Amino acid sequence: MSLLSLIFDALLGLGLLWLAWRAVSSPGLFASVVLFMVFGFVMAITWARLGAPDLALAEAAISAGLTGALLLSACKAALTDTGNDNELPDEPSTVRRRWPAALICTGLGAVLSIVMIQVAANRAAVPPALAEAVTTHPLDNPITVMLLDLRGYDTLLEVTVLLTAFLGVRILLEQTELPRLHAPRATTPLMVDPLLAMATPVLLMTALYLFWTGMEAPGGAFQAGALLGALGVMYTLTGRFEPLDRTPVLLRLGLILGPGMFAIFACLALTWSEWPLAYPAGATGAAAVAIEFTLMISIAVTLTLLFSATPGLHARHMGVRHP
Amino acid sequence: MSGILAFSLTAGLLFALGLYGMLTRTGLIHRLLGANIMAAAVFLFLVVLSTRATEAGADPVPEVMVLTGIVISISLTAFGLVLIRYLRAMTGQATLPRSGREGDGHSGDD
Repeated sequence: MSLLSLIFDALLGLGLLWLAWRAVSSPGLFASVVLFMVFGFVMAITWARLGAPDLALAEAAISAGLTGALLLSACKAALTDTGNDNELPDEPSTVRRRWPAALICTGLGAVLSIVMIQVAANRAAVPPALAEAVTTHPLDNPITVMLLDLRGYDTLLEVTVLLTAFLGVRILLEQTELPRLHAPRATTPLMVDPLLAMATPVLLMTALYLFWTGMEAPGGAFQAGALLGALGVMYTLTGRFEPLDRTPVLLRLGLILGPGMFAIFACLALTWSEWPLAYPAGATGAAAVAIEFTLMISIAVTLTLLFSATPGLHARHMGVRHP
Repeated sequence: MSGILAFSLTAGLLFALGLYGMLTRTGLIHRLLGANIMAAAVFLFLVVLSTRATEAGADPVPEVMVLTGIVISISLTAFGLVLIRYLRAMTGQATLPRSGREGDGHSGDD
């Protein structure tokens, strides 16, 4: 058994290294992007192997899924922005400084690996105060406890970073006329309607389940928001959401809802406690569900807009199809 | 626990590979991939640190930091990719100019 797990770990590690090497060394942009997406999925398996299912879910949905979609859309941008329709221009494969870089990186990799092995070989126990705070907390999933309560500041600032990234993108879009990447088509392919009809309820149900179960089991606002963002990506790609040059009020509310409510909650906490972000005694569960829900909405809206790389989107009226 | 040894080694080497990509590629999207691989290496090491406290269950702090980091990574990647498109619209190419020596080694998007 232990031999099998050793082989499995070694294969995972070698797979990660090989994929990373191919991703940074392939001459073609498209090949590198696809290899990087596969790298993300192998990373998700690694998280599951290391006993971190929350991370496996987040990695699969965010790193491999949505980052992959962003990178593929960047490949498309490399075509449309240069007015080149079918041939991706290969970036020059390598540049000067290849051998010095290889020397430095080999040395660094060796030193880092030795240090990491030594650090990781020391057993460290979870600090007793932390272990007690997690086990006596009203919420059951330790990750959610940390995200929403014990390290709430991190989460508040993290969603602020996500919002800031969108604001930065929006400012850049004001500066220059970039060609639209996902222009709606005149006709939709035959299989798009059935695909969306199946994918929409499945993704909605899975996202709400992950959100709800995040209180006691792996899942939570980030994984659920990423899935809803993936749904938004599908709607953008199939022309169900049309790009806009302004951000509609409803989307602005969606963008600000999570960070805004979290920040208001942080201030309100000063009325019942002496610390910001402290939960009211007896109402932790309800407050956490409310905050997680608003975070999920904001994460979904922000990720969809980051993918579409437009200031706003609106639902396109598909006309009356049903008799 | 065999995984700790294997994955610490993987994390160290992955970091070096990501850095190699960032140093040697001229294409900015390739450099962004390198930066993402370096981030993945750091995440991997943090999770290895979190699982070594096995008797009393994993330490949730590093895991939560990684979850935060994953969301920061996608924010950075999305912003970086639009910056690259902007640069391409301005200069016609998605690489940094070769001439300016002060720009060497900085990808401008990390």
